[in-house]
Amino acid sequence: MPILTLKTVSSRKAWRRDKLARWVITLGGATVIASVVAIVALIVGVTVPLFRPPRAALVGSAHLPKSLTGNDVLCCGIDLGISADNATGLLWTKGGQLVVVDLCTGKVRGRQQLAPPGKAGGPGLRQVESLSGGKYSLLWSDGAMSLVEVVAGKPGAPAAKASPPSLRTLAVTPAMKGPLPRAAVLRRSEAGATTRAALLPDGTISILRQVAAENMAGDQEVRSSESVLREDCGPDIRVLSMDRDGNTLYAGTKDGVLARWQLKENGEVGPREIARAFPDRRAITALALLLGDVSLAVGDAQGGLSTWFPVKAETGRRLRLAHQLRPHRSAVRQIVASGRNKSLLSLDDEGTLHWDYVTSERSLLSLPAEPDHPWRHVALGQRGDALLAVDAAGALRVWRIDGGYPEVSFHTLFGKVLYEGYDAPAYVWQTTGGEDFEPKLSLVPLVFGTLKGTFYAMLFAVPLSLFGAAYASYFTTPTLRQTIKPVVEIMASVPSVVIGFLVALWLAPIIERWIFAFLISLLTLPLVFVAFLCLWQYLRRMDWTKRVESGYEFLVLVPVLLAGAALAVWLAGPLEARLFAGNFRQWLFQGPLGMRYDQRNNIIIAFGLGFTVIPIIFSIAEDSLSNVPYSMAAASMALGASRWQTFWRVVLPSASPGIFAAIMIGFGRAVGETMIVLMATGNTPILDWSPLNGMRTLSANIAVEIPEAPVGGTLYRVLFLCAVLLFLLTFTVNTAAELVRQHLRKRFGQF
Amino acid sequence: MRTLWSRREAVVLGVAGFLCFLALPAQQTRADDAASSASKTYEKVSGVDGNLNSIGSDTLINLMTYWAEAFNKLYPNVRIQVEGKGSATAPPALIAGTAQLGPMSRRMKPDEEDAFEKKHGFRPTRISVALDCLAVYVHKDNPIRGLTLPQVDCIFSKTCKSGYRELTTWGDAGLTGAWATLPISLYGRNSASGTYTYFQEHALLKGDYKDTVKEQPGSAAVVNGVAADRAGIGYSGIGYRTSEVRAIPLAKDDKSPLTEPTFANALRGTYPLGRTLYIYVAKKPGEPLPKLVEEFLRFVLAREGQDIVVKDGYGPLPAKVIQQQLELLK
Repeated sequence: MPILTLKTVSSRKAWRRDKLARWVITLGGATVIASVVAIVALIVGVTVPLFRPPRAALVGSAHLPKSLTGNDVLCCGIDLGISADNATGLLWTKGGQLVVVDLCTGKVRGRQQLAPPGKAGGPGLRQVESLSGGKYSLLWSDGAMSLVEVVAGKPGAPAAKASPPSLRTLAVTPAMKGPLPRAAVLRRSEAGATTRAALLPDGTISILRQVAAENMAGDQEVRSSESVLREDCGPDIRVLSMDRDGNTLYAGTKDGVLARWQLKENGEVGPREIARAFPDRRAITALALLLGDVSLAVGDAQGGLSTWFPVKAETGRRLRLAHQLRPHRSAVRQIVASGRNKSLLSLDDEGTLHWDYVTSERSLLSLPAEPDHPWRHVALGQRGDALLAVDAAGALRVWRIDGGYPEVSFHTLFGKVLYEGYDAPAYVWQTTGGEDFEPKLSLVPLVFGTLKGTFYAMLFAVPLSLFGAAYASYFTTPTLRQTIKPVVEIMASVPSVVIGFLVALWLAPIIERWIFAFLISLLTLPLVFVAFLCLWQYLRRMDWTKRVESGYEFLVLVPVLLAGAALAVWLAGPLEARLFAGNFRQWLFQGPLGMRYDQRNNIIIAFGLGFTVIPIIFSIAEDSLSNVPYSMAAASMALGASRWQTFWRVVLPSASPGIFAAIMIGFGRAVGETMIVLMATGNTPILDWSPLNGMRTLSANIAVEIPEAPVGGTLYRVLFLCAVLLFLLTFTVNTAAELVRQHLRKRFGQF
Repeated sequence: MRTLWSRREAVVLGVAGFLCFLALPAQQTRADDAASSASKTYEKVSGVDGNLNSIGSDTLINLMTYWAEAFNKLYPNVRIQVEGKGSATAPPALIAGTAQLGPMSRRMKPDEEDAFEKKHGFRPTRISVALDCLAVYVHKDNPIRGLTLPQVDCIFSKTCKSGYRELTTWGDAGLTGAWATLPISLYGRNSASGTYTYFQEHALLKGDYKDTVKEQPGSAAVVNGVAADRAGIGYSGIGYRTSEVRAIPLAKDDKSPLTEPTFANALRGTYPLGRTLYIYVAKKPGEPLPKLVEEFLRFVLAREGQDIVVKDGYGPLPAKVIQQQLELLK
């Protein structure tokens, strides 16, 4: 209800001005609230799509020419071109033909008859394997193999006139004498070494390796070496797989056993490593290597799909089960690995298609087969955004797929995940690497780092600033208070970048050199202080001490504290030499504690963050203490209480809401401080409470990673999720603090 | 009146100082001759003006600034702005059109090229501009003779893909005495950096960095960190070397000899961490680049540009490579 109405105000002008002021202030307040809400809405809006489910949209269908059925097709591939208008499907047939189908119009654009190397016509194809990057490994009926690359036609022209893709042969191996292989794989490394492994009918594996090298005379020569693996996996081997460079060979048997061989550069084969993958001895029906050639995807006869990778064991590295993906209902017949991320496409005998992301074990898509037309072959587009399926009758379907953000799930963000190459599940934050990198987006080290940094900063800042505020407002003279307060508030005006810079480059080496003295000073300072107080009881009898006690006690205490510090420095040398053989940091690392000392650690962060937080807490606490009416203190002292009793029992409880608010505001500032933490820690995402090493906070993480995150990508949205987490943290703490503050207000009266 | 020197002494000192001063450009020219034999002089053309923005690598930031200054002297109507927060900032800038030049100390990843192609309709053009050696720095007091690449891998990574054993103290790396029990303190770049990705691919064999690698915001910050930390080791471009640190010789494996990080060794292939520095531009196939961009790149590849490369501590391109790059500009 307005206090001023037209009747109570002397003039109309004053009333109008009052009304105007009210509107302006209300507008200002409402704008502030609206902007905060808008900011929160913005960051939540960028974060929410992270949890959007994956999508698939059917964009085209076609049919094979009548002379071919689905059973003639050995493999299919999809070439999306630059725009979706150029989507073409590639189909390899048993007769040795490559059929190119335009997937948008459904028309066959071309058919190429292929011949094995060195022959004009002749045998057809027995097996075609699609590899990432548009490459295909072809096994001919006479045992010869070719590695071909499909090169997209010239872009730019409209789809109808675009030239069909052309083939480029990358490697060939000659026809095999003797029994024809049941299955074979061919790979060519970037250095030019060709490796072929063929599974012969009697269960042995024939390995051929060709390396093109320059000999001393400068001529190119091809050195080939052939070997046969006759180990007692026996006739049970069902499937083979090899990595992109031809260095590791994997095999799966019908008893559920995985075997691994290392193929060396000079043609030798390392010892076999066996892993009994399935205790119930179910057959392994499909193998594929994930992007990066570290994890092996294994599909078995009962529809299970799992990934394995080598992990450190007592003797070298052994294959270990890493992830279990969504199981199929019948045996897995084909696994295709994505060329863009760690996802897998799998097809079972029933014809159902699954698309899964391995690290987060998320099932992205599941396309059941139509009842009479099970899918027989599938292919994934090179950029991972298109899916082609061929059924037994020869119908083709193309979907445009969008996996959303498959790396992110509640478990990968907040739980322990087993990453490729690691020995055990862990909380890891490491987002960037080469093209086949597995993003590790665990927020746990970041939240831990934020809490750790804030804890040490508040541990340093809160006692100093609260006691300082108490002294400045209550125990010292008003003139001194008027001098101290502005000086402390000037501390708040130092830019945090400057503080971070000074702390990182000047304070860190000093603390590193004097760490033992610093730790001893935590003991000597209180001891010297107490000793001085005992001494003071005798000195009090002199007259000049009365002047000191009227508010200038700190002048006398400064030399005492300096003496305590000097004592610590003086003692540090001899103590370190006697107890720790002259090197305290070495003892920390090698002794029973096993702690590493890092130059950029939480002690210097506590100083830096404390420097920014102390003026805030000091200011607000001091204000609230001074606002307690002096009449209360006077009454208390008149009744015979000492200064300390009055302060502790009368003034402090009355001011407690304000002091609590001061601490909470300081906490909010410490949690959100970015530049100091960015410059003075090493931004190391570790989970360790020790104050002698660094950490990585949510705020510094955003500052460090956001220039690198592509807009709208997974990392970008996860960084906004970090911002949402920071907001929630501060909001929860502030709300709880406000509730406590209201309660304290009601309890302790009028302020 | 008593003065510090007599008149004769003052004249002698003055002449001696003047002669020393004259000798300095002579030193400079000798260095220039070594580099400039590979490239031709730049020929000025008319009609070059406008704004040029460069967003990308921190390794190249000094180089871009020197080139920009020298180019500005030739064409006073050109305004060039250089920003270097890390190689990963270059592709988004080129895609969005906020920069015409994208210096990067690594190649673009396939998904960055895809995103570029999606926006523009053609793939980005990569122009090599200088050679760099990625050096591994230790404190100047560190007596280690050198390291093999597997040792570097196991010092910096937690996956240790090269198969060497884990190294946590300088004693594990082969030092004795007071250094033997000192834990190794790691310094590196942050993830926006091309140097970070290059080192991960070539030294760590695409493994993961240890969590304890302290991420520094720039190449110079890594060197400063190592200079202040006795147990420190870090990686950065050779151009950032100071007298407070040592760039140690590296060997590819146990059987190869330790080689110093020099450009001659990088070109020969004996130093394992040599790399090329690039500038990416958006050049539509069949059409020439905008005149300002093309002339800037011609300047960079000419004798004057390559001299600046030498001045900043990087390696000039061999003649054959310069020819290939000029072909790309056509």
